[in-house]
Amino acid sequence: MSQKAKSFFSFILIILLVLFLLGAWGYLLYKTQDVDRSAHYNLLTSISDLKRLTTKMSKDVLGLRLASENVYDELSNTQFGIEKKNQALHQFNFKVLYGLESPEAQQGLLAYQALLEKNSTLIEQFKTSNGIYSNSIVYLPVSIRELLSTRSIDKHKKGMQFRLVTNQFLAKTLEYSLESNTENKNRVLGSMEAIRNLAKQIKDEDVEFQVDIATSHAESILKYKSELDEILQAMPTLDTVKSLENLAIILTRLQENRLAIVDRYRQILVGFSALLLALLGFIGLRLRRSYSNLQQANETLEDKVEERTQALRSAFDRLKTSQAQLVQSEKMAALGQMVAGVAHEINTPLGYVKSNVELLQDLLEQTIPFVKGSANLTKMLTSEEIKEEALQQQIQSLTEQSDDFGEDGLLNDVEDIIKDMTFGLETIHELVLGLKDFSRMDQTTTGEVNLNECLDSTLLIAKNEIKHKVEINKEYGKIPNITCAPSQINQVFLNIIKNAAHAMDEKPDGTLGMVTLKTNQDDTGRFVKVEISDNGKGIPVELHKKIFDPFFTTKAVGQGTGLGLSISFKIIEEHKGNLQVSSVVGSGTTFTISLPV
Amino acid sequence: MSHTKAGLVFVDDEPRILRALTLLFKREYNVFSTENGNEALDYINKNKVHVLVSDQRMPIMQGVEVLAKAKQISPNTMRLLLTGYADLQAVIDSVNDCEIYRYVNKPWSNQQLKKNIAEAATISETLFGDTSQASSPNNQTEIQTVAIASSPKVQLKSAKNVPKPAIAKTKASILIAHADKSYFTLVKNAYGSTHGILQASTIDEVFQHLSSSNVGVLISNKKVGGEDMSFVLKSLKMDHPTLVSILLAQADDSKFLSSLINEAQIFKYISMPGDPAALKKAVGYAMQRHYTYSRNPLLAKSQQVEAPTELPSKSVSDKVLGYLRRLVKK
Repeated sequence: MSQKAKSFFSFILIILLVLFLLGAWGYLLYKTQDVDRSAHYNLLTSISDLKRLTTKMSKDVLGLRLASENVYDELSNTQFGIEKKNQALHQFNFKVLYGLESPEAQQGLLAYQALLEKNSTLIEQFKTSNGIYSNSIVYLPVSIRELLSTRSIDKHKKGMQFRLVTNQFLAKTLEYSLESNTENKNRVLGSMEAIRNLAKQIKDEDVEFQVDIATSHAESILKYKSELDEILQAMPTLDTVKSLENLAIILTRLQENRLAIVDRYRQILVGFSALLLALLGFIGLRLRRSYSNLQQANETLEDKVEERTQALRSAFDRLKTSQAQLVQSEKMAALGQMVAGVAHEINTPLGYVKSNVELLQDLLEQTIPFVKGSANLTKMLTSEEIKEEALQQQIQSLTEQSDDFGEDGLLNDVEDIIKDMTFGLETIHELVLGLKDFSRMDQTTTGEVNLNECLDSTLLIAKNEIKHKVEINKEYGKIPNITCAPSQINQVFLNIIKNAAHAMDEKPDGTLGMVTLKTNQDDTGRFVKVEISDNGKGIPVELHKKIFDPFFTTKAVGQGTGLGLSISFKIIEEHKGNLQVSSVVGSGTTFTISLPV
Repeated sequence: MSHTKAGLVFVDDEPRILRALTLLFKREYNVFSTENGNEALDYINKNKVHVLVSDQRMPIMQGVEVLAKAKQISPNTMRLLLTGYADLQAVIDSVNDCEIYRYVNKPWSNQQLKKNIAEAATISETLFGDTSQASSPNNQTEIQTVAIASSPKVQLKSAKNVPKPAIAKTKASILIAHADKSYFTLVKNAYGSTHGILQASTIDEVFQHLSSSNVGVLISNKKVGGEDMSFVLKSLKMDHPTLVSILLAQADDSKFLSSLINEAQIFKYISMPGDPAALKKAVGYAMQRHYTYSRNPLLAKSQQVEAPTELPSKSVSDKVLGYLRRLVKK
């Protein structure tokens, strides 16, 4: 993945991360939203109202028994109130309120509902029963009064008794209505019996009728009183209240849980916020630090640049110096090589000259006594007195010596010896002349010279280097003298001739390569051309420009600095001349030097 | 003289040199001269040649090559290099490949050259076994050079007549006088199991070992313990002709090397740092050569050296004198 894509990708990643963090924070914030306490409070209030109302309801019901019709309204109100509250209760959504569906709360609610239902049903029953009962309670005394107001009772002998029993009956019934236990009930039944019996004795229609009414009232009182008591007994007021309390507890617990959860989220939010803040702080710190770094770098940049430039400058200067040194040492090396070659060249003629001198010396040592002896002999022969003995001795001695001579034949060789010595000395002379010519130390630096002569003296110097490697072919033309610095031009010639010889280093068939030196004047007459050609390995076209570059060489490391041609080029350039190369690989190379006349 | 003239061959590319040399020696020797190295080798193959003198820089075949081939064809022919200029490598090769007797510069002194050639001829005659003084049956020499040529000139055919040498063949030691310990380790690993390997870090130690042990091969640097070893090498050769020395030093001075050839007859020259394999081989040959000399003292004579031309520092000469005196006392 490319650098750009990488950075883009990581940028996207960072954006996503930030969004995620923000989202998480937002989520936590949402989760810690203030729980609606008022709703819960309202709910609890409703529940406690319901509790109150439920209790009131049972009180009302009780009141019903004891009081008059007004209480029905009260009860109805209460019931209505309960109904309303109950409906309101149902409207509360637990999930919304507490954040979760609580089956427990649902159940609690249902339980309460059931109890309420039961309560209501019983109340209805109560109301019905109570109606009848109340009615009877109210009308029993009335009917008894009516009964007792019947005239026929007074007329009867048992009228007093009847009145008594009837009042007893009323009292007993009322007693029972107040305290309904079995004893009272039996007393009432007893009374009723008594009353009935008496009524039978009286045999009055009205009385009988009233007695029926009264007894039926009393019977309904008896019946419904116990029923009412049962109902009252059965009314699960306590349980209802308890269920409400239960529900309240459950709800409270839910609320607490909810609060606890929120609290926890709050804690997490605080922690998370702290973390984000820390992160922000950290990033801010880093930014600040990198900013200050940048500032610093900016400030020191200029200094650093200046430092570097200085370093570069001094390195460049050093490089130039060493380049100059290298050029100089190349010159010295070339010179050294040349001098060694020339020294060797001189040693050879010196060798045989010296040896021959010593030979001649020996010869002379022998010759002189012989010559002297011969002179002596001649003297002896031409003297007045010829002493035979001395003469014989002399002849003997001379003969011996001449024998030595004759054997040697050294005398015969003297001619050759002298010839060789002369030649040798001449060779040495030429070499020394060549050195002088080459260096031109005995002349001013610039002079008028003929390039043919320059080539010759160069060949002499190069002889040692090239004599076993190449044949020299000279094709000198008639060229005018030119003005130049001959030592420099000779340096150029030497370099190119040496290169030509080296180009033919590896000839497989053992034949010597050929170096051709051609000189002529160009067509315009303004330049003198020197062509140095060889039939060596040639130079590929792509290198034709490069060979004049400094330090460029195709030779192995250590075999030449690669400066020869670049220096040559420079020299010719300074002479306002031209140095060109043409070459075919495998065929040969020609260097053409043109110098202005 | 009663015996026939010794055979002498000159090779040089300058005919005037050949003429001068021929004139100088034709009276006393059978001289053959040529500008062509091949011709010279051919002649040596067909004739008994005692001394071969060659130039180095020649077009057809370089001198070192001529001498090396001559060594193979006719090992008893003494070889001299006579040259106006020889690069360092040529000098090294002349030692290692050609085992030249003398290295002579041009221009030469007739007297000196005559002396050298006379010496060489005598030695060669001894080697060939055709001097009138031949008395010891040991004059049939065994030359244990490497790569013996199949030429009939090789004297191995007379080996059958060689009686067993009377000298017990005690194993000689190899003495290494070199600051670089790695060479000691190298030689020890290669030859430690069969020969004693000795180490010297000063010239004193060198002499101590030489007097106490039978040293056959000496490997030395130019300087040992800061003092110049060349004088020591030269003196040693005079008194211990059977000691074969190997110079293990930096290649930088052909003059120094040529003086060691002439005055110390060093056997091999190895330029530092040196190929371990080459050093091992050189030590092997040197030890072989030492045994050859021990068995054939006359052959050792072929190791004759010239008196040193350069005088050593006082301390070195004192040490050498001291050692030689002790030797004499023994």
